[in-house]
Amino acid sequence: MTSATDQLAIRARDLSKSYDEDIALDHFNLDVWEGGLLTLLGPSGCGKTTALRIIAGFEGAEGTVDIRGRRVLGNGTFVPPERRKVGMVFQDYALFPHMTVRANVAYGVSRGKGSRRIDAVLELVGLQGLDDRMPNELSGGEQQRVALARALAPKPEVILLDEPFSNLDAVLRDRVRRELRVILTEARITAVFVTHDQEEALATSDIVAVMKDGRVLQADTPAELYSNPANPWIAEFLGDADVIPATAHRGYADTPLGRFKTDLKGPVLVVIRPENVQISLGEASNAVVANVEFFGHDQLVTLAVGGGTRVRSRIGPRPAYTPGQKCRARAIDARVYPRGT
Amino acid sequence: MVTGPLVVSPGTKTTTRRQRRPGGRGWWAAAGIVLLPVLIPPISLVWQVVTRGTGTPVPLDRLWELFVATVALTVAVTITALSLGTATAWLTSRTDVPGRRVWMILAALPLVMPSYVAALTIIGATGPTGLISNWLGFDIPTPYGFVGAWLALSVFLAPMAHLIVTPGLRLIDPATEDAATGLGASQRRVFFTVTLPQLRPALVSAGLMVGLYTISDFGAVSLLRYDTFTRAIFTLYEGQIDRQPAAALSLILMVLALGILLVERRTRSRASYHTSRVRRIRKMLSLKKAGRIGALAFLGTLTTLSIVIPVSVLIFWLARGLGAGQELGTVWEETIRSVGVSIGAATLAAFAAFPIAMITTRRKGKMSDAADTAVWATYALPHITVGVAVVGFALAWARPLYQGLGLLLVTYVVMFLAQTMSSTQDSLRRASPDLEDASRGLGRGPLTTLRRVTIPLATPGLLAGAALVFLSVMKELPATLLLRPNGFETLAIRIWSTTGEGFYTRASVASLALLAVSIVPLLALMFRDLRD
Repeated sequence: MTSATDQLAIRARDLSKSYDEDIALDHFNLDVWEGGLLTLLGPSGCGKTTALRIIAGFEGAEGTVDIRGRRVLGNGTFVPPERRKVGMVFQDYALFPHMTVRANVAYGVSRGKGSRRIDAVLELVGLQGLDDRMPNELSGGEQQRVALARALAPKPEVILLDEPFSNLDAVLRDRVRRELRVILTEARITAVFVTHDQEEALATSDIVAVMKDGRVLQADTPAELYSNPANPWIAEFLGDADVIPATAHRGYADTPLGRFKTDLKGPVLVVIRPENVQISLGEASNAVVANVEFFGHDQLVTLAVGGGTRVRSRIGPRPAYTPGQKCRARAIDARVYPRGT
Repeated sequence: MVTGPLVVSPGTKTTTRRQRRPGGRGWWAAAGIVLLPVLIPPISLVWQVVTRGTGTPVPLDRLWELFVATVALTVAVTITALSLGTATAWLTSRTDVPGRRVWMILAALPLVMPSYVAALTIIGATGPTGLISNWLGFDIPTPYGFVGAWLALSVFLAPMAHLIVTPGLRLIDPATEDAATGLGASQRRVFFTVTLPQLRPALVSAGLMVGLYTISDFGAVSLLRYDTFTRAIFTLYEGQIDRQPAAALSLILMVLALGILLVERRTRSRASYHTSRVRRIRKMLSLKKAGRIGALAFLGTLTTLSIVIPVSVLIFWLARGLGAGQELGTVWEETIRSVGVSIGAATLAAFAAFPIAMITTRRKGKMSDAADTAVWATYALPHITVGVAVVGFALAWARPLYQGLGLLLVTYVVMFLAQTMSSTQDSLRRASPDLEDASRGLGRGPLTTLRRVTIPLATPGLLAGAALVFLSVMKELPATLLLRPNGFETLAIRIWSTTGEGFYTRASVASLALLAVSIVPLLALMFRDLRD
């Protein structure tokens, strides 16, 4: 093996899995680098949880999985979950209902070196003093931290988290997300998250891998992914975007909002994010304000730009716009994609 | 699930979860070993009739008579017990009737009463020397025949309906009833147009259990001299050297029972009911004065019929016998035997149920569904037919086992396996398979996971199921009559033989012993349920 793959915490190749007729994973490939936090992001039913379960060893599949260079699945190998050194935090936490918090956390730690490690982990997640509680006596946020502590206690090589925030309410979610990030950094552990919430993925991760229909479409840093999505679907999935059909020739694609450089020829799709659309009054107008949503820190102005095309613009709270107003709209940045069928 | 904890009936199917990781052959092997004896009764019966014929055929008009008698009793008892049980369930879980919780328990209590003890107390209360005749000063004739059997079975099967309908009522979203009230519907209209239709799965379930129990009943119809299939089978079996007619009749009865099971399964698979997960506070219906008096009168009368009179009659007979210096005969040995086989069968049933519950909840598929159906089908078989089938099997294939204690125990397990299976399935369904995955992910192997996670979580279900089997075996009569070792007298056998010979004092001693022993696990189960 090359030194490059040695630095991989997880290397999954060509994972395929189907249930009866449904294809859950279809030649799924993923590289997770040591020490980072990677998020598998995709709409529900895209196979992200299945991918986690296969990595953890709860299910078999075609293809191969290596964890820190050790083959755990594939070519006739199936290392059972208990020997993979992979920690898992389940979506519903899966705390043992018949054990106290401490017994839950101690479950994966061998008896000899028990209690100091458990104290340390409980302190790390801020659960000191709750040792003797039963899981049903805890709030959702506390349960989540017990699940995390339990997964961290045996010092796994990687930790997998399946939609860890989905059972928390919106206010708690942001706080827990930041805390979790700090805890994982302190524990210096490789982590893989699964989520369908793109804001959560962009805000939390070092790398985001976007999944659709059982495969990874694109994996990159949040900023790169957001500004250079591989196709219009990813662009729209990651945030607001308007897609305008256009035709490219002689190195440019022309739209009502301006012309954009491209190497493509013929029919194309131009994807524009609302924050890249600027509006000005007074000059030769090319758009009419159709709708205004005011959010306080900004406003989202929907513009009719001729030919029935609508484009949104996210701009500062001032000046105020009203429907029917004529204005000039211009896109300062856009991505051009080939238009297929 | 719409089943009560004290009565089991085939539950609603849950959707297949994810496919599991490779492995699990051990569970399938263990389940296979358990399923073999489960399949013996039906297969043995078919085989006996097919290979040996029907012997001296029972005349067709006699068959028709038995059929009509059995069906008439089953329909009458099912309707009556269902109405009574629904009424007690509704009054005790939806209204503010005074002493609600006490009535809730009193309505369930007669479940420990075997049908032949119920019949015995009816005989003991009426007739020239009966308790009630004595009180009233004139002779009430003993209601032998249809009326007696109908009364005995209805009153003593109403608790079964009560126990299935009560949790069914709990599953109904109170918001649907509030919505109807808000639209201006009267309480009566709300009950009949909103509550009752949503209760359908529970009612179908209860109807199935009551119906199966009625066509299977042997004790009450025999003592009250009402000719149904079960009584005819026993008479044929006892009276003749040729056992083929008994086998043939048993086969007919078995088909009838499986027919009912099939109809129930059909009905259920079409019905789909949605229950809200939101926990809402349910307001108790506050009864007006007339309603309160009516409710108390109804509950009081039912309790008098099902508890006060039977127990008084038993004590009355006991006192009268003692006063007359009659030979009472101790029942210590019979009690120890009854408790012994009941505990033995309950323990075995718990062990046997576990692997089947594992494959039906953790590795669901067509094969495990078939296993589930097989267990329910054998549970649905009338006990007398199981007895005839097992005797035939032992005589043909396993002579050394015939009239052995081992065969009797295995037969009990097979007959009542559905009780431990379904309560264990309940416990396992409540525990997400993620818990087992979590244990594996934390570095524990399959055996440790089983010992520290799966078994502790299944234990409440295993214990509840074992308690149910204990109660059932304590009461079981017809299969015990056919399969017991020579001279092996249990309380049930003692009650049967002494009542048959008119020794009511002796019968009452054994009956009181049986009730005293049975009430312990019943109360344990009911308090566990009330805590939930």
